[in-house]
Amino acid sequence: MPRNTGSDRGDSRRTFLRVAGAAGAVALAGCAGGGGGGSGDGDAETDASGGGSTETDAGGTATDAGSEGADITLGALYPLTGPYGGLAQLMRQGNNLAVAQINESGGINGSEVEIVGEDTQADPQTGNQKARKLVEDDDADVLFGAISSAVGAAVAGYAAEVNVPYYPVVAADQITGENCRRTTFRYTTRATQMATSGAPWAVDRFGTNFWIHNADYLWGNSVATAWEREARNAGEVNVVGNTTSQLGASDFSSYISEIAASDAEWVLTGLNGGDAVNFLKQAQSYGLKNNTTIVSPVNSFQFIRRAAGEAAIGTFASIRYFEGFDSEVNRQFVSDFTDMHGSAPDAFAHDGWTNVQMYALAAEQAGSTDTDAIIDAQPGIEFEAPMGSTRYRECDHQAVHPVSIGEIVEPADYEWPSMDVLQTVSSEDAILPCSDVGCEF
Amino acid sequence: MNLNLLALQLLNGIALGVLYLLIASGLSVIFGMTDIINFGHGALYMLGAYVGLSVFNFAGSFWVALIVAPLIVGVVGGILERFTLHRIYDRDPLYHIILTFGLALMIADGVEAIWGKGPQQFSSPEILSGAMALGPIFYPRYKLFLIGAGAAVALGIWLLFERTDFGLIVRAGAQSPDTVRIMGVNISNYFTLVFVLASALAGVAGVLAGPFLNVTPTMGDSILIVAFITVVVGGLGSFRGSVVAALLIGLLQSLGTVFLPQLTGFTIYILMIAVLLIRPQGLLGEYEVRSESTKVTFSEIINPVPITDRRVLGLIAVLAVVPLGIDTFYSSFFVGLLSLMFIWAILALSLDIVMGYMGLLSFGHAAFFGIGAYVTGLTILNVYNSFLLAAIIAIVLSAIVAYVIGALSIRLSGVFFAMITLAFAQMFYQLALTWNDVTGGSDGLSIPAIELFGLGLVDLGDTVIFYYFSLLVALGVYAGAVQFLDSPFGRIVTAIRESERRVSFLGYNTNTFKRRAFAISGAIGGLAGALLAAYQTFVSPSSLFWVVSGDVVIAMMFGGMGTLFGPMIGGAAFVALSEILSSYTDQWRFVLGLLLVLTIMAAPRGLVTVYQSLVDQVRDRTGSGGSPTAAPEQTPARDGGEPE
Repeated sequence: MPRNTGSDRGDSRRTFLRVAGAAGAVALAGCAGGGGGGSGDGDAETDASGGGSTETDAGGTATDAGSEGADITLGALYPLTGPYGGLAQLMRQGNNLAVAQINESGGINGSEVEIVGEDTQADPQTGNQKARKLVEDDDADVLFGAISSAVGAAVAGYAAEVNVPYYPVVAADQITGENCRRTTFRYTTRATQMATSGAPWAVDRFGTNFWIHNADYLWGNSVATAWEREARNAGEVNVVGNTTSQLGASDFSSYISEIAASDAEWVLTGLNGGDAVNFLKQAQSYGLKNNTTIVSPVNSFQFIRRAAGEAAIGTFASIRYFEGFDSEVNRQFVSDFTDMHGSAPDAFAHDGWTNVQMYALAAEQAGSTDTDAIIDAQPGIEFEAPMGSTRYRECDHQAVHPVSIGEIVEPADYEWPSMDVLQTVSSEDAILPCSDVGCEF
Repeated sequence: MNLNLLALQLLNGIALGVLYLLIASGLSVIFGMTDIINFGHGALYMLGAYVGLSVFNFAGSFWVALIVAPLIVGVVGGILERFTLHRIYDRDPLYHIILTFGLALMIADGVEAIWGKGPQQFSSPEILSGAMALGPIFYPRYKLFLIGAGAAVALGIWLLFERTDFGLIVRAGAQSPDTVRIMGVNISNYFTLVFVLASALAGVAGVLAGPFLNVTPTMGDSILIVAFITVVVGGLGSFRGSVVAALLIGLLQSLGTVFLPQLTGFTIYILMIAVLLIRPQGLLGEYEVRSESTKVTFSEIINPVPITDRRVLGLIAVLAVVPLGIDTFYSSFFVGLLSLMFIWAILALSLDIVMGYMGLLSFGHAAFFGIGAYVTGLTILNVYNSFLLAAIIAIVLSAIVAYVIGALSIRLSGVFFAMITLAFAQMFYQLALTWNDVTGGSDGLSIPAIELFGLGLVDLGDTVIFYYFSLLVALGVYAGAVQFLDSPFGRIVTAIRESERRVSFLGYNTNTFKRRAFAISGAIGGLAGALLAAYQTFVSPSSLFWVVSGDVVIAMMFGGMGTLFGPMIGGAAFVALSEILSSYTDQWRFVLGLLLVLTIMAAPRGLVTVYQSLVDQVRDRTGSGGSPTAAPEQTPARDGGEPE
């Protein structure tokens, strides 16, 4: 009986070669032809990020805006894959708007600006790798982004080693605290700033018994530490319980049950992105907010308000950015953003946009994109951002600006829940004095 | 003890359990009939959630989605089975398992391509929203519905298996497919039907889970592991076992989160390992390991190419001059990428020793990779900045861990061995994730640039220096492995794959050899991990996740199992493909999965054999007309003198 002879195997191998070759060719052709648009995250989606797809930037990880052969390259890190995907897209839109506006008014020091984005997958290892690629392969002069604080920390270390300025959009305290670097400039409201403005107010308004639940990673733990500290500074408090979940965890039922069964008057949730939405929705189905007020440093994010919808109404959050904020600069910003991307900006779009604008101003001031010149020039730049006047401090490269807290309420100008600003703390009051920060360059 | 909390957690546990049951029962049934552990099951579950979401958005009704989506997923499962698995049922079941991993990648990326990467929101139907008062506690209506609906479906399936002819044939097929064939039933059609059914069940689970859990492209990965554990604990092939195990695990996770938070991640892995060691057939299972599915086998033996071979020397020469082209042809990032390729080559080679030469399907090699990386990082940070020192410690520790794992697992074979190695590796992942003080948790460890010897002599942070260093290490490892396998020890290891019984008749204690070979494999994997830490100057738990183990298997299979140099090429190709493809498309894992599927179906011995057949074709074409044995150093030894 003939066994599987060589010619049969040869046949199947030839077939394999043909099919594999064809598949490979199709894959490459299709993707190259799509202009790197294979990521599809701008297009046919039902997610919360964009209304119509009038974006001028195609999705994907190729060059996002600007033209070929530009003289100044900005490298951007976006967690497109994972729980922060929706937030990442908004940050990218903000960056692209800034780049477009800068190029329209002649670029930086007369040079055209281009921005290249990479997907960090919210993983520090990947983020590190992508930062390397941006600096070594794409010749980026400066790095922006991250969102995930763990990625931010990893990239900050790398950026310091290769002496490239880095403007992280992360909120964990350490990045301008004990792990500060002279190459890092952080505009984003850090956890302590939000805690200082939010914790005493929450204790005052909701009670002294509270629960802390956070995602177990750099930012989540940072939030928990900061809020507990600031609450205790304000007076006698009782932390009824402290639980953590894994970043990206999908089932919060156990924690919600625990909180509901306890005598906590309010709960602080150190959760962001998809985690925050999930928590709110699941808490809604347990009816948690009827008995325990939910307070968060970030639920004011547009992505979360949109995705959680009704589940977010009646909860409270620190406000990093609010599209209905009453300032001339903000109205202009919202209008420009809506023109370019077809929907309203959010905190990450705002942070991304502000970072790029402030960098551009520093580069103009310094007359070059040389890292040391930028580091010298940046703290001296005072910028009128949509949420208020801001500048970077010399001592820790942290930006100061006023911080607000408010309630999430029924929709007003848009179809997603709006906010009621209840308290605003001034820049000086919201930030720790230089001596307390623990930063040494 | 807070009774309310207990009651809430009991209900939570049952809800989780029902979900796991729906997925695990499908897995179990497929395995019972076909010996295939379907790695694609998590992806089918995810597909169910996404399709359900789309149907819901389209038709406006959750109930329509609940009916239509599982049907669609069932059809998809059936099509996949028909086009791939169906054609290779005559092969080793272990190849099927690897193929399903490729399918999983394809489905997952397909979902991303269609629906995007970000999380999607699936709202529950109006009448099921909100909480219901159950005595003193409030419990979400939707979860109560989930418990009820899931239980109803499970009951239906049980009835199907116990009371219908279809179920009779399925159960009979699980016991003895040949007998069923003899009785005139076309059992392979039933394989397809079972796959369809299982896929539909996974789809139901997906739709039910959608409104409550996160609908993301990664939801399949996390639930798959739990499903595997459920199936193993309950008993492969046993539906009742799945019920018991699913509830047990759901309750364990739910109650554990509250009462044993430190151990939360570990409990299920410990449970699975305990069951595998004490009672491998599971709590209620009666499955006996069929002899065909104990080892990976292949008939064609290809010997590793000696390092003095012309082609190898030529390749080395080319690689040696690559760094000279930096900044002229390519950036230093490219050279760094090549270093990464060498690292993966070493890792794939380590797996080949266990899988290609010993025939054991190890799905946990990420453990050694990660241990090597972490130990190196910790040594550099806390002891002394010398790569040599750190690497030695890493290798030794990895070898010890591998020896222990091997000692515990070696009595198992085939699928069970795969499962237990998977469990061990996941435990290390959990450890890295939760042992914050030491490992930095999910934030990882940042390492300063590493010196080779310390004392500031050789800086491995320099891309070019690291490139040459990793190239040397890769060559050294390969040469060493070739020597090792040529030694008496190595030959016995190879013989064990061919026939363990005969080797033991010859008087060798096969278990000793297996343990030692596994330890050596772990040591090499640890070395690869050490190099990774030096390359990245950063370590995070992601290098321990089970998907990485799967990636190593892909790399090895793609290159060519059992050849030593094949997996090295495969490892390098894997890195190259990932990098190249990922800059063109976000769906590069789809292409990777597709290549894996094609490789298994058409060229199961990988690229190496493709090369061989190319050489043969060229030779035929140029009419040298001779037998393939014309060039001795090119052709492998033939078994039984068959013509090639």
